[in-house]
Amino acid sequence: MKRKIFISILIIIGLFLLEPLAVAEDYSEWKEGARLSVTAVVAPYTSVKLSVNEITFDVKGEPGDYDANQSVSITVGSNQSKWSVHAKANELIPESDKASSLPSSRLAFSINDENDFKDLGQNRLLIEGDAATPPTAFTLNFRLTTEWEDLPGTYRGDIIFSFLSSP
Amino acid sequence: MNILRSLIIVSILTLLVVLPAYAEDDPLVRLTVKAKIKSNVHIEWEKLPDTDPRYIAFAKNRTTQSVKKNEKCQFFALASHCNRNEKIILLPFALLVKLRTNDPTKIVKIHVENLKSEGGKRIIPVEKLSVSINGGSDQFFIEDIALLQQQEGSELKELALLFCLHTTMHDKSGKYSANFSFITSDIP
Repeated sequence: MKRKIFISILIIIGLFLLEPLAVAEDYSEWKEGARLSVTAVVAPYTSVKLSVNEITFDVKGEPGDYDANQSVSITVGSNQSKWSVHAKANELIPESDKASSLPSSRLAFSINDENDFKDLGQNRLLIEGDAATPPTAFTLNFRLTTEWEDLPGTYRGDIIFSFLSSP
Repeated sequence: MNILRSLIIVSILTLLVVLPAYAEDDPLVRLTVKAKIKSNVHIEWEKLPDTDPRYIAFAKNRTTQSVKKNEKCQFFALASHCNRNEKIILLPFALLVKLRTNDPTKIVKIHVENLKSEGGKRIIPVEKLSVSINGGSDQFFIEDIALLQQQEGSELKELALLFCLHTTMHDKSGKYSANFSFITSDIP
């Protein structure tokens, strides 16, 4: 009999002890102990990729328009709100001292196999987009116009692609 | 009012200063370009028959030039006699040649083979053939004759070629033919 009374008392005491824990699960009554500050910096990201590093023009016949040996794929990705890619050519310098340079205006390009070639003697807008624009590949075709005054030989130069963005 | 005006001016100036700062030039991407230009010679020719007005004009011009130079022989018809032994035949065709090259080291010459009779039994040596270029004096085919000299390539050069055959009594009559060819070479 005493034993039963003792067990009953223990149960009652246990119920009293559990009650504060149940109350403690109510988060609204929690108090802030410490604060960890989290900062995420999303840096401006830009990627301009070309499928090749070099293009070659093989001018084997009479002067005229010659297409490059291959087209170039350009892929641009950026998280900038607005961006654009521009291109401009530098003159082609001859390896021989006797020859004159080929002006940059003799180089031209077209986008996505269109036949509308624009010369690269001046800075040209190639592509523009915004942060929502997914990286998309564009095909660039290049053309060189030669003249009778261009002496035989190898000429070298480059086309500069510049990226302009607004954060 | 003055304060408001100043504020507007300051705002405009600030915009002018700030806007380019937002534009950001990222590192440039370079595409190397290589152009390999080969040596090229353009040779275009047209054979003018003796009925062509241009041929007649060239022939007249050649006659005039010859008279001016007090040459003994005068050409107008297909043939004329200089002396008992020599007969000069103005060939009944001319060549109109257009030449151009991008290579100053190139020279273009005309090469003619010996004239052969039908069947190839008789031969008139090519040395008896001469050419007048653009009404100039006769040049004999002792060797190949240059039509395009070095350093004169990039401009289109048009030449009218009239041929004369200097025959003697030893050259038998008949139809003769020869191959003409244009040859190019580099300057040694």
